[in-house]
Amino acid sequence: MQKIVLITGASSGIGKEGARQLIKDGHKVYVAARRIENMNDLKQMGGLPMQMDITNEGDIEKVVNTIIKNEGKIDVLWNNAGYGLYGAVEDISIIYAKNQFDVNLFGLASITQKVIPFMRKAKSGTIINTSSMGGKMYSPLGAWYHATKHALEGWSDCLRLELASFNIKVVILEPGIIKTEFTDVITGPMVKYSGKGAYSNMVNSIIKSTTTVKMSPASVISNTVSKIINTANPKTRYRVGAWAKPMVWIRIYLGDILFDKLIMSQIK
Amino acid sequence: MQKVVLITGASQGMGKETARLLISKGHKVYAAARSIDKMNELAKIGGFPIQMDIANEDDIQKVVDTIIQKENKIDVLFNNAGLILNGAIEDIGIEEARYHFQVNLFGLASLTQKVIPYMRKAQSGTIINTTSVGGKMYSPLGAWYHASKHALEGWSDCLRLELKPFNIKVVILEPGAIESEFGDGLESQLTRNSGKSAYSSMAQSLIKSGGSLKRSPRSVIAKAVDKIVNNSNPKTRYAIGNLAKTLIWLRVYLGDTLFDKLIMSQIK
Repeated sequence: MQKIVLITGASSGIGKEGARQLIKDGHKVYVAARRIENMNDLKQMGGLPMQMDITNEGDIEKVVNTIIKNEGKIDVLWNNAGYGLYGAVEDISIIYAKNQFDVNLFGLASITQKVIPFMRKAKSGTIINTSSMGGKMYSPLGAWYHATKHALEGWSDCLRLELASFNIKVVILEPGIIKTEFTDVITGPMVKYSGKGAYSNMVNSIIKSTTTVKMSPASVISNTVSKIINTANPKTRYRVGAWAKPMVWIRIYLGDILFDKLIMSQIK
Repeated sequence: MQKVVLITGASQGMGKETARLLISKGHKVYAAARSIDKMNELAKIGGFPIQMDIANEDDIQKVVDTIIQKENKIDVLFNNAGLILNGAIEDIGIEEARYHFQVNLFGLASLTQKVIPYMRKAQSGTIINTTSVGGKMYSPLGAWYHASKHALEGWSDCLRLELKPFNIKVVILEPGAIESEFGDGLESQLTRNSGKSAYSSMAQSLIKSGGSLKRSPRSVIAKAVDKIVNNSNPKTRYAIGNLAKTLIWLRVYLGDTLFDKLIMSQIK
């Protein structure tokens, strides 16, 4: 069945790859991102690009209103926009931390708030929130990124309970290490904020360790999202991609001390 | 050994109770809160009340500068100040959610950032972050509170790894149901935010069930903090008070679907 889908952060990475897949599946896919020109290829395939900065209330309002005017409903909201802020807690100014939350949590919440009433009216809908395996575990110099993803995990758990009675599904997507995202997103900022100073040794160790790490292609995520959309009863969580399942399992069952040792042993 | 301790949110509840105990144990306790007049009794028993709004950068800087000027160090930072926020996601404005994070996470982070350099210099220190059992589990109409506490959990895990080389301990305190910490605001906030919305019957059920919850006295928290302050090798986490350990255990081992059912069965 053709669904009306809205994807945020669709101009690159797993968002774009996912959009391609869902367009191919025959869905009507609205793709939102800051840089509309980076979505021309999606347009050519039949996608519907829209300019939206997730930190801009006016943009969000306009996107939701446009889709509702055109389609009368939104079946699937895939909250995918997000980025990683890496560097030592001591080195990153609170302003940057707030921006990380504006994008990864508050913007996501704002668009979700605006979509829910229409899903409630339809007594149907699926909200997919892209968290990360980093929402369940932790690593040094990633405190603000992990904080946003941990927050999104708990927030989404609550949302699932709030919307269950309206037949709106809330699904948490927890990607592991995915090729398109990882190295640029993490190591670039890390060097920028903590490359010099008290934490520089830690930065160098992490960069060294990430060059050999196993990564999955973005297609593992798009295949999963395609499956979620076509399932009447999706699972609450999908842990997908390299390391996602073992890392979360280890974090939950090892306890803090052993997990600390494991993580630190990987970056020496 | 006498320690120089800074406690935030010390004008009431667990913060005040802990300040009293640590003062009586002979520590030099700086008690910070917005309303300095509510800490007169702490001054009388030998504490040092200091005016600080955790949402105000200048206040935070002034407090750290004052203590460093007088004591030249801060041995223990007890990040205790925090808010609750109850209501459906659909009903709470993003600005209110942002303010909630300003107090529960960004203010805490800012103060911590300003204290770390002195602890690094001393090659010693203990930072105690008060999260909650709600940082590990979830309940409907509490999404923003759970989000801020989940965030603080992950953030603190990362901080622990970052500060370990400098011999600074980061301890996560997870109170369960503690008297008068949660009860007061719950009913009024739920009524105000979601009393007349699509979530009103859920809000009514929550108010009813919240009233009957058994709560531990605040002294259990004060005693735990006293123990942490005196321990050269504290645990990474202390889950203290009624239901704290049980709920965390259930959340981990039940899985989402069963935990959802358990929580919803309690608020019917």
